[in-house]
Amino acid sequence: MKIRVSTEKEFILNSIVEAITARHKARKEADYGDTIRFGVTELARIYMREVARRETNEHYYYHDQYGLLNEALSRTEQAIQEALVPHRIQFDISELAGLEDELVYPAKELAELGEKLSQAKRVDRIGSKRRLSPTGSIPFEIIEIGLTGFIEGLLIRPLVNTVELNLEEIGAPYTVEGEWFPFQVQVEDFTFVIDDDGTIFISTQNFPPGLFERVREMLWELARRVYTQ
Amino acid sequence: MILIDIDKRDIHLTREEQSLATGSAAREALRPKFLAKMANKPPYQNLGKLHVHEAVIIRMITKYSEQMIYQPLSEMRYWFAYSSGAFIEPGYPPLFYSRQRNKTVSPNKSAVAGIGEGVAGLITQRLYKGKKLARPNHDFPDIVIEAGGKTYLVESKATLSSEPEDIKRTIADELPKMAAYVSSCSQRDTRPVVGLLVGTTIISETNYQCYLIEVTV
Repeated sequence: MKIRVSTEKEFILNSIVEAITARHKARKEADYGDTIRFGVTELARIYMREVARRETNEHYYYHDQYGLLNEALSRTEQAIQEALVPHRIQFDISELAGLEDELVYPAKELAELGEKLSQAKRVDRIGSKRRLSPTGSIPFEIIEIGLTGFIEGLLIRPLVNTVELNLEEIGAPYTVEGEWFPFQVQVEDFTFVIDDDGTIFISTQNFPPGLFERVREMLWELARRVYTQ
Repeated sequence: MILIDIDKRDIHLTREEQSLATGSAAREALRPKFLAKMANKPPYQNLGKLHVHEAVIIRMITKYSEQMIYQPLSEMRYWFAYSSGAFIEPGYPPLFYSRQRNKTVSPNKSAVAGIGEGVAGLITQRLYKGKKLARPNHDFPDIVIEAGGKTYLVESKATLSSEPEDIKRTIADELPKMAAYVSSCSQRDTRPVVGLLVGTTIISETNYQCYLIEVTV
């Protein structure tokens, strides 16, 4: 089974564009409707997290929620507007009344955490993140989840908007279980979880260092087999 | 492995029933009338069982829950060890939790709610091939899913009880609110909107019973 999936951000953006286009065709003149609002709010939250976790080498983060929120909303509006250009539809995020009020407290939390993340990265307090571009595969990153020395999970996520997952030719020793996402991939006593945004996860709670490194290798090999160009 | 047994009930609302649902949100007297009409709708039917590894539940809780919880499945195992009497044995904490007359010992409520949200997300993904559109922040519904050109509004409830009727009652109580909201969204959205009430009873550390009500207009 080969399945094309998109990242969460790409999926939500496409869903919003499709809904706005359908609305335009149906000439609905009232407000945007709840589905579009839910999507735009979620997309703005994704951008808020992106803005908050800027790479530390930029040595820059927002000290207050308003700067972070404004940049995230501006990026959200721009992404939707750019995707709507072929449809010749204008999108104005300010028409979603109360959106800023809804997001201002999450933005405050993210601004505070962004500053702390920047400090934590400087002293290697949290697990690392590595970008990889193996030959014959798409680029992806491997993220250690947890504090340094206490990594509780490993996650691989593709660094492209859409990716085809090849679940039929993974081959031994990997066994795929489940009829739809999240799929379980079994190897020996380890279970990897492949989800509909292309991520692959394994819990590594209480793994001794030797076993942890072995599982990291297995995860990397699984990603190389699953992700096709 | 965790075994999730799923029972589902389909409720299609007529225009009159939608009006009753909307009205019952404002006037309590209309609520019994609405619920009486719902009692005549088709009963639950068993959809079979899902066998999933704990890692899948952990991943789904991370994705769908807004509870700040750490190791909710371990919390449940700890609770079931306590409630099965194991704490009397050596090797367990020698604490006496029921110190006050009116205070009973209960499992971690955030862990129970978090597992419920994770299971609701898992079931909408597996049964409907749905993909997460949004996870509204402290709002109704808990999860918004898109599948097959439809928007699914998912509300999750969870309990830890040996009596399955408890969770059935809990999600039935949510029916007027969900019905009114689905009716409202359907009038304003271009896509068809479906409501899903997902009630999960954690029977044991390896057995969950899940009740699902699908609301369409």
